[in-house]
Amino acid sequence: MSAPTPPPVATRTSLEESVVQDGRNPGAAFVAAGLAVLLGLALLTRYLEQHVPGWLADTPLAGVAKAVEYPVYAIALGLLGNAVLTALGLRDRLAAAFRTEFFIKTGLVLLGATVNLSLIVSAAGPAIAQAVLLITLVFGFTWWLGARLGIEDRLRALLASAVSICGVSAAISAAGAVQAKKEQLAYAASIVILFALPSIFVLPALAEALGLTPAVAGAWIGGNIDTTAAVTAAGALAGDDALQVAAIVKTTQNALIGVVAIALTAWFAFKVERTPGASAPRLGELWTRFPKFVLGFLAASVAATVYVSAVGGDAADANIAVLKSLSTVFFIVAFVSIGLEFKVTAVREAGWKPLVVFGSATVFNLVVGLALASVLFANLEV
Amino acid sequence: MTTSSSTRPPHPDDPPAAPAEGVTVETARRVHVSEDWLATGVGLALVALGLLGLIPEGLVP
Repeated sequence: MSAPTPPPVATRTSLEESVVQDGRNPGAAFVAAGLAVLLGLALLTRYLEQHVPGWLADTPLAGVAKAVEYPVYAIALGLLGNAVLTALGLRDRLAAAFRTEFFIKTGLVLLGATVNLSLIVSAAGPAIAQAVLLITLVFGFTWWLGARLGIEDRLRALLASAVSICGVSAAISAAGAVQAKKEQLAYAASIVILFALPSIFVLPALAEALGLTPAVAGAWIGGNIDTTAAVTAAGALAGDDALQVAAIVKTTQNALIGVVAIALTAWFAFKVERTPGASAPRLGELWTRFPKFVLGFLAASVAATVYVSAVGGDAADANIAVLKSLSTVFFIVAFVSIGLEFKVTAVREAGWKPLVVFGSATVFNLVVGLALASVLFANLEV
Repeated sequence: MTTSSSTRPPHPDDPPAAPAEGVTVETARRVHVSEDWLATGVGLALVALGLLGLIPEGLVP
């Protein structure tokens, strides 16, 4: 019998070294400097988006320049800023300002004001059906494959939650539910971003190559890319209609994280840990873990729909357009932040098995998600 | 810096340990929940200001 192979040794994999915001306060000066970098790169994104097509208008690159939209500039500038700040030894000190989750959720609440409630009502049925089926199938596949490859129970719970629900947010909720180690959360969060970055560009291109309608493309993007910020970036690349459907689908998936977290809490208490005297999780946990921005998105849509019907479409257009622009500004800041917070350290140091599990689950998610989106969203008019 | 096995750095596959000092999963979760509420509040406040026409078009870059 061969001796068990010792796990590879991680040297720096911790929450402090990951993409997860940990609440540490490095001091007002560093937060202000981080915000200045973030906003500076966001303004540069806006500038490039508006001027590059003009600069290259009479060149062979004119077509490419017109096709490149703000998420591409934002993420590229974020990654470039990340490299520069890392080389200067400043990245970690400024990271407290790189609040991707805050910026993307604020942008999504604002986007809610541009989505007519009737679209949410029409898409709700297919979105809920797709979310329940995808989460069940993808979580189950990841859990099974992780067990086959000998991944520790808590880590595979994090990986399965992240890939099947909503990326980093799901990993954080699941980590609390199964009492995962902080190194496991750091690793799961890093691998989510590693896979999300290429997906932002690959999925819209594939959707176009496959000739998907905006509704199906949006549903596929929303159901597949793990982290909400990356879904929004990919949706924006696929077009406004696809973005609206992607946002509704992803928001629906986000809403189900509480249910999965409760199930994980119970499963680990009664089946994995077999904790003596463990009590069943309280239903109140559902509310605690429910992502509140989902309610903000709905409330914004309700408010804007009532407002438009009260004052008339023409009168409301200017104010709705301002909210749409503001939403885009928050998205740009969030996309720059994705690039700035990306770190490969944790991924590099945790071995190949979790990467294989996550990669396989992503492919599984792509195939099943395309089938479900094609069936469930075939007749949705955007 | 020591290299003894008893002080081996942590690995994601290790069994769970007692909460260490500094940043924990719980603090990360609390930060996450606070950001969620904050984003919802800020977003809805901006929606209200926008629908009331209090955000000038030229103010948004």
